[in-house]
Amino acid sequence: MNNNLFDDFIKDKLHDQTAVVPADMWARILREKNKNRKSFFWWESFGALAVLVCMAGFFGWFGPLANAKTASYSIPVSINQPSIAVLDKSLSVQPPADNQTQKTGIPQSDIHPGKTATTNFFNEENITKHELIVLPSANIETVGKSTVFGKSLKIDKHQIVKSVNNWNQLPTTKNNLLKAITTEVLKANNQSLLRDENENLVRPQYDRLSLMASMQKAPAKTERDTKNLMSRNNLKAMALSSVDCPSDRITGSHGFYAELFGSPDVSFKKMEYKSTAANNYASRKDSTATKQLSYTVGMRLVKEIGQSMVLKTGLQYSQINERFDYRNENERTTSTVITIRTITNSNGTTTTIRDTSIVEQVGYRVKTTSNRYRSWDIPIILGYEFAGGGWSASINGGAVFNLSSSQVGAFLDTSYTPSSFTKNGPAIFKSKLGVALYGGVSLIKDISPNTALFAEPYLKYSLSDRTTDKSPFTSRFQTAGVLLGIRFKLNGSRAAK
Amino acid sequence: MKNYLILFLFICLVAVACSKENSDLFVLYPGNPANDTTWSSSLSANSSANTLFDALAFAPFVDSFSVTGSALFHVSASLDVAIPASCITNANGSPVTPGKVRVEIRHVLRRGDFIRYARPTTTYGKLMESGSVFEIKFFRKDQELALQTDKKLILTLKDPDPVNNMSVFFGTVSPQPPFPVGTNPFFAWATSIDSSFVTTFVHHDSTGTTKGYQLFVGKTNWINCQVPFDNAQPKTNITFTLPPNFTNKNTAVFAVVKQRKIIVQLNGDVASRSFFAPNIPVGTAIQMVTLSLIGNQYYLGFKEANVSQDFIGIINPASKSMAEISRFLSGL
Repeated sequence: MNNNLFDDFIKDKLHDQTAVVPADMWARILREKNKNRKSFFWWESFGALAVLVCMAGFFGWFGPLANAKTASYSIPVSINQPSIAVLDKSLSVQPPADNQTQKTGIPQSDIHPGKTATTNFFNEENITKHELIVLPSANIETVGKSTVFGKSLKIDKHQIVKSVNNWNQLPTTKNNLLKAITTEVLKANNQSLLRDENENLVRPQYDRLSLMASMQKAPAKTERDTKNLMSRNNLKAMALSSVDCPSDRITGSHGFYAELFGSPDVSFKKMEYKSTAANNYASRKDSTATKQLSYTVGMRLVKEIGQSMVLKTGLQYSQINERFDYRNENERTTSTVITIRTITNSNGTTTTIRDTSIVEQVGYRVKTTSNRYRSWDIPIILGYEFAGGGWSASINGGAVFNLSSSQVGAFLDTSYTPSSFTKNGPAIFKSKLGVALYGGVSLIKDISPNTALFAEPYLKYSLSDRTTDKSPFTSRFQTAGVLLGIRFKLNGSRAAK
Repeated sequence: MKNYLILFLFICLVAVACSKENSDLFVLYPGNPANDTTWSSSLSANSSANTLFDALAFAPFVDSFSVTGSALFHVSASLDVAIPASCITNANGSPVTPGKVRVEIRHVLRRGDFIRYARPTTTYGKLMESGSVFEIKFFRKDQELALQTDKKLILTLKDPDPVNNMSVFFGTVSPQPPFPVGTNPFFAWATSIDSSFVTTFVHHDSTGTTKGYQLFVGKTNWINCQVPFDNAQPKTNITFTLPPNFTNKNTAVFAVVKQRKIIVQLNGDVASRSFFAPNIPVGTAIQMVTLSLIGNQYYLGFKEANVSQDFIGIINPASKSMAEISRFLSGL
């Protein structure tokens, strides 16, 4: 009772209230707007550079996704308790003539067994989506795609049939029927009840449109009706809910994410020899090294900046793998053997002698060494993200700062013999590699409210050699790969925007 | 979420674990003689044990003479060869037409030379002491000629300590069985059955006394003046083993009796993979020499020993150049 009095008081005071807008309001808004844009300009420029680097690959690969995004939408579906309450009071369903139609709410003429029919019955003039739920399995089969609020919906019949599979036991009166529906919906409380035509899950929303439509169709005729319509739950539904449109996805709250990733990499080594007289050495050395699949693993923290930009940083470990094969012809190896011989003496007796001797054999030696070029890096990456239909994509660019590098393996030295190297020497490799440029395009897919999977093809371009001045050659690695990983939402309820 | 974390860590583990281990592999050349440690019970003439001597042989003394006239060749400081007139025939015994005939003469004098030419002084397993070995051949163009049966070459060999009772032996590359133990099936000395003989001589002149042998031989090719060696000591076998790389296919083993021109080539015994020689007097001081050709690499082994009953010795040959081996043989 006290709540009603307070509501009446507020309503009386604020019913015709208007707020005066200051004359310089728009000018102040413009100033703030320009100020924000200026301070953010360099970030956007950096992002734009990354966009240019990755543009060609992105449009070839991401084009279909962009098309999907424009067609995707979120249909407001009322399956939560507040909407049900409203419908329970305001829904107006014309009683059908026959028993079947009475139960289903579908005119018999709109049912075409064995076909996928599109019926105009499912529009806001006659029914809400709740009544779709009580369709018997036979009719659901025939309905398939239907139109609700001018949008195409595909009914997940399995969920519905599972909820209401004994049609004959349903109540026949409207109120009891709706109560049963409410009970079933609450039991189901399943977000996968409905899917849109792209097979995307339809997010549960407080249905403001349904509420408003119901209010229009059942205007308050009494004070009690008005109070019911303006109840706290309904006001909450109107105030808090919104139609989930694409712009809403992009402008979500500034999320904070953690990413774990791993990437199969391919490295490209560029070598140059400091002496022009080392052509023979160069050709011989080049033939001893074969690149192998490399990899990168790491974690990143992702912070949304503004509406579409994200800043990523973390720690990653990269290992470039290379196989060193060396074949040395006409190599002689010796091994010690013990030979046992039985000698026949001059008188016919035998003597067993045992001697240790050396066996020498000739062949070729194949020495295979796995060269490992390891590095710990800190990536600092700026990305531009956009989302739609449970998918997100981003274009990323930035720099990778090397913390330390080490290597172990073997190479052909200038005397044409294999020479090993470790992180302790010889000092022909650097321990810090400086900065590398990074560019990539990522595709992110929500798999749960707080988790998403992502794939990010990328290219890392080293700006400095890996070798020191003491090396007879210079080598520099460029790396390409596809980061595959998991993104976890650290704040809020959604993993990806 | 926990499952995804586990999956992620598993993928990382697989990626890291998929690294191939380092390897250092030595692959033998198939068919390379250096890797052949097998022995053969039937050696071919082309085996390394036989062909290695080709490179050790000295160039022969070569000259020519008129077939109708006699000739005297001063082959070396210790050997003169006198050829009577009209003594050369074709290989079938028919007279040759007048004209020049080429003569090639090899003189095996030092003990090492017996090894160099692979001409041990044993015959059918018995030890012989040699004065010298000669090889005399006549050619017209590339056709080898023969000596008339009633004609004899006279070889005058200076030797400061000639041995009496020497006999002339002719070498044969096709010995006739039976082959007692220790017989070289590819070469043997056969006692001459013609009127060939050898004498010793002592010649005094103003320069001093000269001793030696004078051989009267009615055949060409390999000629030996030797006498059976028997010092009344009990005889025994000597056996030598070598590392597995040295087989009877690539190695020849010789025993040289010190201070005497008695050279024994040991035979390969496949069963025991060893080299042996019978009928060696106990107590004999010997020098063991092994020559091997494995691939294109020569090996030389040397060891001195005093023969005891059923003596067994071990020799470890070492890689040597041909020049080193030749110098060693010349100084043996």
